[in-house]
Amino acid sequence: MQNVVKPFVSTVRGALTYRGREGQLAWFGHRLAGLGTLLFFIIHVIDTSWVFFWPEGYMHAIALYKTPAFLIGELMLGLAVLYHGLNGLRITLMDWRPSLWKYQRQMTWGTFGLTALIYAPVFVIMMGHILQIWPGIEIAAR
Amino acid sequence: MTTTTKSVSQRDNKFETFMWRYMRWSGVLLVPLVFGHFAIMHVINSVADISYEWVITQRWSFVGWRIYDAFLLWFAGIHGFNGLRIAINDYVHGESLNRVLNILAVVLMVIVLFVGTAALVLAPTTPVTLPTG
Repeated sequence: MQNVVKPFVSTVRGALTYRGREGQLAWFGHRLAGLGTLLFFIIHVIDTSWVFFWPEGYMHAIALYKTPAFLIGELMLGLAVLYHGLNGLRITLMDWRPSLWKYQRQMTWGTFGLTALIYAPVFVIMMGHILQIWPGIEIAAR
Repeated sequence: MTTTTKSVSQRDNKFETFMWRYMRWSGVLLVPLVFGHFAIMHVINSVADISYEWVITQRWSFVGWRIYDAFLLWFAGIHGFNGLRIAINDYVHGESLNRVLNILAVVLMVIVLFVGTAALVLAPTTPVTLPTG
């Protein structure tokens, strides 16, 4: 157990104390978003496969996705996928053209900015969908 | 240990180089695939539109969407589980626990890819009438 706890503690401590600035933030966000998306991907593929294996179970899963916790998770998934994709393109671009490394700070901030810029309208549209099915809201609006 | 270290590490290096390239190539492909999937399912439509009948009649009745979903499943699945493998190797240094977690990750990946592919291939093109409760 010590073998797991020690690297984990040093990672958390490092993340809090190592002054890696935006580069470290970009790396940490990339990992968090990637692993979070993988967790959703695993659940999502299994429940979607129930369309064939167990249609009643699929209906139950969709009902579960309409509950507040999953709707908030859906919003976070959108941000995670968007950031992971754009930051991944930045990494790939810099690996492909190492001359771009001298602009890595600008490109990292550019990635954060572009993520926010694209996520803003996505967030508004998704909130529109969510408010339509958020329990209680529909009754209150009438 | 010392006699086999060299060949083992060379094999590992080849694998790591391959996966390093795979992460970039699949990543570039996954950006349009995943962004497109997300836009259709969560922005243009939403979970309010999605149902058993909807998936069959609006999505999987067209073989093109099954192929699209198969690309997503395989490219994202291998990309994601390789990411998990990298994270496991970063944080779990104990040899036996590292091996156990990596084996579990591979088993989970095989299950996910198998059930996903099976559903994409075998799901009917018209909804099966279900006993209504």
